[in-house]
Amino acid sequence: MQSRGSCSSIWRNKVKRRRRQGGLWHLVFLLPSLLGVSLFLVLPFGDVVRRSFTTAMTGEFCGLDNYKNVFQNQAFLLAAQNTLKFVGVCLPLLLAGSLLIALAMEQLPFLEHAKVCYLLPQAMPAATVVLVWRLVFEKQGFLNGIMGTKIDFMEGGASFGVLVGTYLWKNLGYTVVLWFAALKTVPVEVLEAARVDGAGKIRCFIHVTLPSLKGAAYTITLLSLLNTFKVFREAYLINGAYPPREIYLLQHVFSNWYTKLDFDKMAAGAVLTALVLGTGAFLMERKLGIASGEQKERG
Amino acid sequence: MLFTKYRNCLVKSKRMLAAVLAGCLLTSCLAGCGKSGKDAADVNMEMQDAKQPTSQASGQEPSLGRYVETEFSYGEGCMLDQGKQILPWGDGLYLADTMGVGARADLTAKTISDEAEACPEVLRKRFEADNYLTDMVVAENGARMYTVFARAGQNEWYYEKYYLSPDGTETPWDTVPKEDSVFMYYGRDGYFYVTNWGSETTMVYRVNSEDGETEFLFEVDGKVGYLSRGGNCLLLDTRDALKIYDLDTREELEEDKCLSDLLSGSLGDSNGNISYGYLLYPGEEDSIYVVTKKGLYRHVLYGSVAEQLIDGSLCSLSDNAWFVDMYVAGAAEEMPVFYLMFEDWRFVQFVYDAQVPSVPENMITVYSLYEDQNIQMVISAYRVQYPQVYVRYEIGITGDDGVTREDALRNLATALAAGEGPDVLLLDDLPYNSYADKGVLMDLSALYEGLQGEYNYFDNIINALRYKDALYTIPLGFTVPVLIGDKDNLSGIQSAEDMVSAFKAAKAPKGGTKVGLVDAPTVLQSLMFNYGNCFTKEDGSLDREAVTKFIELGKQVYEIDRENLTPEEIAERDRIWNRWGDLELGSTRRSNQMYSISKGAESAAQGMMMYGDCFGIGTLGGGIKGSINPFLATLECGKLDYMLLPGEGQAAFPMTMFGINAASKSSEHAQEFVRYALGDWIDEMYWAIPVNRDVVVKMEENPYKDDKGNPSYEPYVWMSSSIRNEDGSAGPGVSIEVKWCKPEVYEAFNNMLDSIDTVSSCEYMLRDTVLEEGAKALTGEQSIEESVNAIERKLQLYLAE
Amino acid sequence: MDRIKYKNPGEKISAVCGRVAIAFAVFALGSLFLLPVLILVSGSLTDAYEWRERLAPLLLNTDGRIGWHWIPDYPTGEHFRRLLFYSPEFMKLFWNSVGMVLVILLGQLAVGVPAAWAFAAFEFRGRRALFFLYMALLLLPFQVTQLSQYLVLKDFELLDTRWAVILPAVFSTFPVFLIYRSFEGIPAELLESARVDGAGEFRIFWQIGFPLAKGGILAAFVLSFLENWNRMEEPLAFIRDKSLWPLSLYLPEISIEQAGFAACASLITLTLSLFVFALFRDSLEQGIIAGAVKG
Repeated sequence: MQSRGSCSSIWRNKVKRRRRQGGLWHLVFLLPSLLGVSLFLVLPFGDVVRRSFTTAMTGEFCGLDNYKNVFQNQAFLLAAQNTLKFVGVCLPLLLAGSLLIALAMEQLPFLEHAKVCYLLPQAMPAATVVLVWRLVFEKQGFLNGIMGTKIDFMEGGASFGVLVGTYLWKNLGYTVVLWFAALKTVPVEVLEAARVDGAGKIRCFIHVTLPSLKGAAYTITLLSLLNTFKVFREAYLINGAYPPREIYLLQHVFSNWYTKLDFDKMAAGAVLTALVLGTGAFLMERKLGIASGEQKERG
Repeated sequence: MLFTKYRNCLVKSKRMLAAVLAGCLLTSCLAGCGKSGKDAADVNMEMQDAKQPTSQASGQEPSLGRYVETEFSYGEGCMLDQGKQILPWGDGLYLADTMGVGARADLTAKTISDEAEACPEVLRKRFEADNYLTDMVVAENGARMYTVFARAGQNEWYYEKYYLSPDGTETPWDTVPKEDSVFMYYGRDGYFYVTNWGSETTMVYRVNSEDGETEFLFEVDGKVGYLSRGGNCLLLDTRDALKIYDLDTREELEEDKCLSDLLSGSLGDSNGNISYGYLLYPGEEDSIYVVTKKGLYRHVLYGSVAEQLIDGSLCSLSDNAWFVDMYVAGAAEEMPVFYLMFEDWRFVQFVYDAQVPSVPENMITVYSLYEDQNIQMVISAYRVQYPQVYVRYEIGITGDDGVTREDALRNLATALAAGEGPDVLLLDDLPYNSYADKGVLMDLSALYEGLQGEYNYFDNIINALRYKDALYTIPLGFTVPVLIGDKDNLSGIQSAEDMVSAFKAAKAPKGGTKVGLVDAPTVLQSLMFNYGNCFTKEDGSLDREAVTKFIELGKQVYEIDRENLTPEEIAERDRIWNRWGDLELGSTRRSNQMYSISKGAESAAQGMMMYGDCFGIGTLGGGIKGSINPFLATLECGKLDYMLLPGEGQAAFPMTMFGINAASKSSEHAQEFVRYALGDWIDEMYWAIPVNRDVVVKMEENPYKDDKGNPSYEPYVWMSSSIRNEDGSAGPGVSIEVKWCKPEVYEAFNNMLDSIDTVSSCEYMLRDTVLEEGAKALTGEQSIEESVNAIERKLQLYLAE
Repeated sequence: MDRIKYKNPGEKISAVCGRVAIAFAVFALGSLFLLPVLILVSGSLTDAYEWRERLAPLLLNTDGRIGWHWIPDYPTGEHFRRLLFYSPEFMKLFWNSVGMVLVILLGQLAVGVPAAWAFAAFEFRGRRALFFLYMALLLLPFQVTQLSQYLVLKDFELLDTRWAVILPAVFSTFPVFLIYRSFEGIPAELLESARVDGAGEFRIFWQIGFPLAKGGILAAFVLSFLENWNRMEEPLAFIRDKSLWPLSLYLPEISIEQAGFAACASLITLTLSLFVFALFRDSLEQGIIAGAVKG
C-alpha cells in the first residue's frame, strides 16, 4: 500500500530547462513593455517615492519627516487597521467560498449555466450598485422590510457588513469562474489513482487537489487583493469621504489627503502600504513554493 | 444523450449571440449617431476653441478680427414687459413685447427709449380696459396678431385671437378654437405663422400680414414649442427633434444632420417645454443663423458645415440668459451686424471689428465647484468692460455626468499642484483653510485696503473671514438669518433663551405652528447660522458643550413648534413646501443648500400670514427692489416686524467667496477681476446682499417718482401667492403690494447689517454631520449625547488626517 | 462523471439530498447576483412619477417601507426610447468606450503577451526582481499615483486626449502577470525539444507558446476588457473634453428624476459586457492556468 507521501510521488517534476539561458532574446520580447512601463508606470511611481521625502507644495527635501508623521497619524493607523481587517475578513471568505462553489459546480455540471449570472455583478457600474444598495439597505429598505427591523445598515458596525457584502457580491462570481478553470487542470490520473487506493474525498482534496492549485491560488489571491481597491468607489458613493469609523479605509485617507493637498503624507503612506503588500505577496509566493522561476523539485 | 444535444444547442446559441451582438451594434450605429454632420461643425468649433492665447507664445502675429459686443442702455422709465421681437423701424429698431408696449432702439446712441406712438388705437383701448394680452406679434407693415386672455367663470377661460390690419382694423381670428392658445411667429417674409399650442398634434397656419387671409399649411405630429423660417422652409421644434417642412410642397423634408447636431441638447425637453436656449433666424436665400450658447453660426440648410461667426465663450452668448429674438442688419454682407435681445431685457449689438485680435491676449480662469449665478453676472459685466481679457468659467460639478465631489476636488488639487490651477477660485464649497495653509491662496489684504479707499464695505463681515492674520477670501455678498414676528412678541428678545421662552409663551392658532419650521433639518439649518463657527475649539477639536447646547436649542424649538400640529397637518405642510426637489439619492450636498433649505425670509413671512404661525425664521438676501422690498411689504401687510436671529453672536452667511491663486500666471488680471467684482457695477445679486456697502445704499434709492418729482411710495408691483390644496381648490393666500419704503426703514436695515460681528463659516463636513446627527436627536431617534458622540467621532477622523 | 457505487439506498438518498442542497445553494447565490439586475430591469420600465411614489418613505425620511412592484403599474418604454434615440451623447460615449477598449486590448496583445513570454521562456539577470516590480506596480491604488501620472502625461502633451487613458492602460502589467501563468503551464519538454531542433525564438513563441496558451490569453483579455470597460478614474482625471469620455462616466448623479433613465443606461452598459462574457465563456473556462494539451 502506498503511503500518503507517495500520492505526490507521481507528482515528480522533472527539471527540464524551459528557459533559455544567455543571449539577448529576452530583450526583443520585453523591450516594448519595458519602455512603456518605465514611462507610464515606473516614472510616476518614482515620483511618488520622491514626494514621500519632500514637503507637499514647496518641494523641499525633508527626509523621513513624512514617514514619522504618517506613523503617528491616528487616521492613517485607524485606516490601516480597518483595511487589514477588511482584507482579513474578505479574502478568506471569498477564496474559500468561491472554491467551495467551484467544487460544487464540478460535481454537478448543470450548474455551469448559473455562471453567466455570476459574472453580472462585475458588469454593473458603481453608481447603479449604490442606487440598488440604497433601496435594499436603507432604514426604509427592502432588507429591513424582510427582516422586520429598522436598522440603518449604512451606519455604524453594520456598514462594515455592507461593505464586505458588496465586495463578496461583486467578486464571488468572478472568482468562482477562475477556480473552476483552475480545477480543470488538476491532474485527473492522480485523483483516480488516489481514489483507487481508497483515499476518501476529503483526503484526496487536501493532498491532491489543493497542492496542484497553488499557482492558481496565488494568482487568484492577488487578483482579489487588487479588487479590494476597487470597492472604494461604491464605499464613497454610499458613505461619502468620512464614512463611519468601521469602514474608514486607506483609500479614504489617501483621497482626503489628496484633496487637502497633503501629497507628502499621501506619498509616504502609499509607499508604506506598497511595501507591506509587496512583502506579503513575496512571502506568500515563498510559502506556496511557487517562486516565479524554477519549478521546485518535490517528491 | 440529452447532454450532447444540449451542448450542440449551446454552440448554436453562441453563434446566434454573436450575430445578435453584431446586429445590435449595427443598429445602434444607425440609430443615434449622425456624426458626419457634426464633424464639420465640430471641427469648426474645435478650431475656434484651440485658438487659445498661447498662440502668442509662439511669436506669431495674433490673428485679427472678431465680433465685439456692445450693450444698449435703457432710458428713463423705459420698460419692456416680456420681449418678443426686434423689427426694423425707421432708421432704428423697434423692440416689441408681448403686451404691445414697445421700445425704440437708437442705433447710433445705443439707447432704448419708450415708443408709445407705435401703439395703435385699438390696442390702446384694450389696455385701458385692462384686457390681458398673452402674446403678440408685429409685422414691418404694422399689422399685428395677438391673443387676449378672457375668463368665463371660475375655472373657465379662453383665448380670443385677433388680427390687426396695417390700417388699424381689428378682426377676430378664430381658425383655432377659443379653448386653445396659440404660438405666433412672424417669418419676416410678410406672413405670420400660427400654431396651436399644447396638443399632441399641431396645426400650422399662415396668415398674410397685408390682408389677414389665413391658409392651413400642414399638420405636425407632436407638440411644437418653437418655429422659425429658413429659406423656403419652416423649422419646427418638436421637443426632441427639429422638423423641417417645405413651404411650397407642404411636405416634411429629411433631417438636417448638421443643424440637429448644432442644436443637440438645446431643443425642448420631453415635457413639451420650449427652450429658449437657442434661436434661429432666416438669412439670405437658404441660409439661417443659429444662435446657441456656443456661439452664432451661419448655416446653409442641408449643407454640411456651420460657420461660426461669433464664439460664444468670448461674449455674453455663453451666459445662461435665454435668447428672445435677433435681428440681422446687412445680411447680404460678409460680416453683418447682429442685434440680440435676451430674456433679462438686455439688448446687445455685435459688430465686426477687423482690428481687434480674434482671441483676447489675456485669459483668466474662474473656478467654482457648483454653478454660481452671481459669478455669471460678474463675468458678463466684466467682459463688456474689459473685452481684451478672456474669462473662462469652469464648473467642477455640473450635475450632467458622473463626476462626484471627490473627483472634482481631486482634479482641482491636481491642477493646483501641477501649477495650472484656476486664477480665481470661488471658495464657497472648497476646503479653503487647507488651501490657505498650503500657501495656495493669495493674501488679499492689500487688495482690500486698496478697495477700501474707493468704497465702503461691510468691514465687519469681511474682517470676520480673516484667517491667521491674513485675508484669503472676500465674499461678494452674504445672507442674514432673521426672526420674524409680532412686534410685541419680538420685543425683549435678546438671546436665544429669550427667543425660546417667547416661542413657548406664544399661542398658536389652529393649524398654525409657533415657528413654521416643522421639519427637523430645517430647524437646525435655520438656527445654525449663528452657531456654525463655534462648534470647534481653537485646536480644531469638537467643542462638545457648544454642540450639545446647539442641539438642545434645536430640540426645544422643534418640540415647541410641533406641539400644536397633528401628524396630518405636518404631512400637509411637507407637501406644500415640497421637499422632493431637494432630495437626491446621490451623496453630495452643496453648501448653498444651507440657505435654500432654510426658507427665504419672504416665504417665511408669507407662510406666517397664510398659516397663522407666531414666528418665522428665514434668510434674508437679494436685491432691494427684488427681494428686500417684497419682504418688507409682506411684513407691513401682516403687521409683523423682524430682527436678526439671536444666537451665539450675530452671523452672516457669506456667498460667492473670491480667492486668488497665489501661483496664478495672470495674477494682475485676476486681481483686476476681483477688484471689479467688488466694485459698484452690481445691480442686484441673486439671494445675497452685496458686501459693498455703497452699492447697498445706492440700491436703496427710490427710483420711482411721482408727478411732482418727489419719491413715490406707491406700489410698483403686486404679488400674490396661495396654497393649492390637495383636492385642487385654493387654500389660504396673501396678496401684497410692494412699494418702496421710507429711508428710515432702510437706515434700520443697514444698521442691522452693521451689527453683524461674525461669519457663519463651518467646514462643510462638520456642518453636514451636525445636521444629520442632530436631526436624529431632534426626532428622538437617538439621544443628544449619542449625536454629539457621533459628531465627535467623525470630526476626530477629519482632524486626525 | 464517474458512476459512484453506493453501498446502500440510504447513502444514495443522502447523496442525492446533498446534491440537491448544493444545487439549491448555488442557484440561490446566483439569484442573489441576479436580483439587482432585475431591480434595474423593472426600474428602467418605471416612469419618474412612480419612482417618486414608491420611494417616498426613503426621500422624506419617514417611517415606512419602500414599496416595490416587480412589474410597474404603468410600464413605460420612455426611458429606452430617450436613451437609444434621443441621447446622442450616450451613443457617442458608447463608441468612445468601444474604441478605447479595442485599442487598449490590441495594444496589450502587442506589448503584454511578448513580455509575458519573455519572463516565461528566458532566463536573465534580474528576471525575478523585474517580475516582482511588475507585480508591485499593480499594488498602488489610482489616487496615489494620480498626480504623478498627470504630470508625466502633461510632459508628453497627452492630456485631454484619448491616449492619456489608452497608453498607460496598454502598458498595464496586469495582463502580463496573468498570461505569464499560462505560459508557465506549457510543458518544458516542448520548449526544450523545439530548441534542440533548432527552431528560432520567434517560431517557438508563435507556433508553440502562443497557440498553447491561447485559452489563457483569451481569459486574460476578458478580464482586461472588464477592467477597461469600467475604467472611471483615469478619464475623469486626465481628460477634460467631455466628448472623449467613455460610457462609464455617463451616468448622472442619480436623482429621483433620473432614476429610471439611469437604470436604463446601466442595463444597456451591462448588456455589452454580458455579450462578451457569453461569447468568450468557453475560453474563460479554459482558464488562466491553461492546461497544456496534447504534447
